[in-house]
Amino acid sequence: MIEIKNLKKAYATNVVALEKFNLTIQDGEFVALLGPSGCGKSTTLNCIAGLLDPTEGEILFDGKDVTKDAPKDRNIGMVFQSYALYPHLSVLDNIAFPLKQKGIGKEERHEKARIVAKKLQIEHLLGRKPAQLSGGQQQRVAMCRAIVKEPHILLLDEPMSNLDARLKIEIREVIKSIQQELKVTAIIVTHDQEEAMALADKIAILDGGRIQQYDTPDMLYEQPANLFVANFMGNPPMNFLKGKMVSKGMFEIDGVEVPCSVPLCEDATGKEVKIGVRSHMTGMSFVRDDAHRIPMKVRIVENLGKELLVYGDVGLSEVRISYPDKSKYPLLRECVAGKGEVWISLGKKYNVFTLPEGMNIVDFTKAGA
Amino acid sequence: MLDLTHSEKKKQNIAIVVMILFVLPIVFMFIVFFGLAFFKDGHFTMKNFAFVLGPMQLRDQTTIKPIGLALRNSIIFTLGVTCSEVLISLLAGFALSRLHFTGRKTIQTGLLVLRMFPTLLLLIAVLYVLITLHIVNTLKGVVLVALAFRLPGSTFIIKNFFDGIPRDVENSTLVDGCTRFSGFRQVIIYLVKPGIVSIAVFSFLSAWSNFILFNTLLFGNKTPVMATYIRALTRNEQMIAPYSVVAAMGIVYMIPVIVFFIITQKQLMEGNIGGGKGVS
Repeated sequence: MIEIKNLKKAYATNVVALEKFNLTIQDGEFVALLGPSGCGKSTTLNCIAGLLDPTEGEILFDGKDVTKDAPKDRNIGMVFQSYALYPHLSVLDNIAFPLKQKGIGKEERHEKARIVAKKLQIEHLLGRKPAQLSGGQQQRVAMCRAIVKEPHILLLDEPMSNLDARLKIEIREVIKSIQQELKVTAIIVTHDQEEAMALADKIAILDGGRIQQYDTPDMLYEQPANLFVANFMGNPPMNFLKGKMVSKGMFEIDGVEVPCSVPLCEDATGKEVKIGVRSHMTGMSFVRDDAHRIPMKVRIVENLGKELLVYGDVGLSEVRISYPDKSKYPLLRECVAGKGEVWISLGKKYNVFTLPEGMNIVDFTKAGA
Repeated sequence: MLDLTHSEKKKQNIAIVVMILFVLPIVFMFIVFFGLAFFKDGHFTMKNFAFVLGPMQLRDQTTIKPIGLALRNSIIFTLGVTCSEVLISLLAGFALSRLHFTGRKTIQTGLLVLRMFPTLLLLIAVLYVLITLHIVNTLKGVVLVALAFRLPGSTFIIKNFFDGIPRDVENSTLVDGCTRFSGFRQVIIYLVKPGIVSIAVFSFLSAWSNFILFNTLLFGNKTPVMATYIRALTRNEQMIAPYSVVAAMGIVYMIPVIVFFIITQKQLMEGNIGGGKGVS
């Protein structure tokens, strides 16, 4: 179990990279630290690895305080963004390097390195130098080197950002299966939410050096705690409709009164709100069959093959709608040309964020999600 | 190889001719040089190299002392300067590149500023320093002076090599179970190998061919080195040795440099540190 308590990291120039950072990771869990660049996710990882000394707070591995321990005493394996292979050593010696530091004999460490290399299907490359490998192969070597000493914790610092899209998916599978096989606690730093969703049991979303939400991918997607999380998770991104809570249980969006159909945990009457709806949950109709439907100007229609993706504007807010009925494509094209408009509804599941705080005020305990 | 077009080949031929014309005088000088050393009256002879083995008797009844002592002193001096320069500049360069400490900026600028001072300007002052330290007129003292003059430059060069090493590689050694020093010894040093080689080469050459320091700081012929040894025989007012002997001395003076170059040239040419994607 990894416990991070009240971590703070400030750099010499008074830049605070992390503040009031608390995180608990259970054994065998795969956790992703997700956030935009500069949010402090790599700083967190380096603090866990011992490569950076935190300004305040402590880090505990299985209840033992390791905050002051050197990286070599923490029993961790790490994969770096640039792979950081040792160019003067062969692949075999690269993989066996951590074992060499433990004083394990040449025969034994080469044997172990071969076993790990076989697991990642690079045993035919063992004689080469890192410079003679492709990016994907280098990445596998880096993985081998990180796991060869059977570390307690595996740290991955944006391990896939230098790979092309197909390799990313391939390496993703490799990482996931290795992690499950070794049952190692793993922490991955990434700015790619798809990667985080695919790999992690739990995701911590970071922004401005603080954790915004720490939850399972599903919960982050369905019940984002605030606007930042809602904005960050999901592709296409969530639609945000700007409106006002005119009375209890009634919004006004772009001049249309819409009743609120989800339970709220606070009365936000009179407040500006943003209503967040997933693109596939947003209803769309060509006729105004209901007084509470909101008009939308259609801007672009994309035919994605399995569905249509409709881009439009409601007031000043941009809205994307996934629409499954592809036969309406010509009709929507006409709307783009300005010969018609569509009417949208909020559907059954949506999030309500108060402005300017950006907190989600939907009461999920009553919503029965 | 590039395939040249017909007209390009013509131009290439012109270039070759021009090059040969420029090189000819230099080649001529070398031919004369080697001819003087190895031939006498059209016959091959090694007589001119007699000073290598023992005292050499010249025609006008003067004797030249054997070169042994001077050669030994020169080698000690050169190895001493080269080894300590590489070692000290490596450690200093690493510290300047990686550690954050007060005065780091000042030292860095200092390195550059110090390089701007001509050695000659400081010689008199250096002499006084050596007198105070009671190491004047000793080889030890000259080693220290030569080292002091060269260190800023080589530290600056090697620091730039260290700057080029990705932080990730260093961090990786730490995570893999190294201490800072063992990581430095097992990995980092290999990544700056071209830097080490270039420092070593320049240090060796400058130490081996140094003259001005010996001429000023070693007096009374107590500790002869190669440069002062040859100089002593070729003073304008009393040209003791014939040209053929001086040429032979020149060849002896050259041999260590050639040997050193053959050893290091492969490393020097390698240049790149085998980077590849994301590693370089």
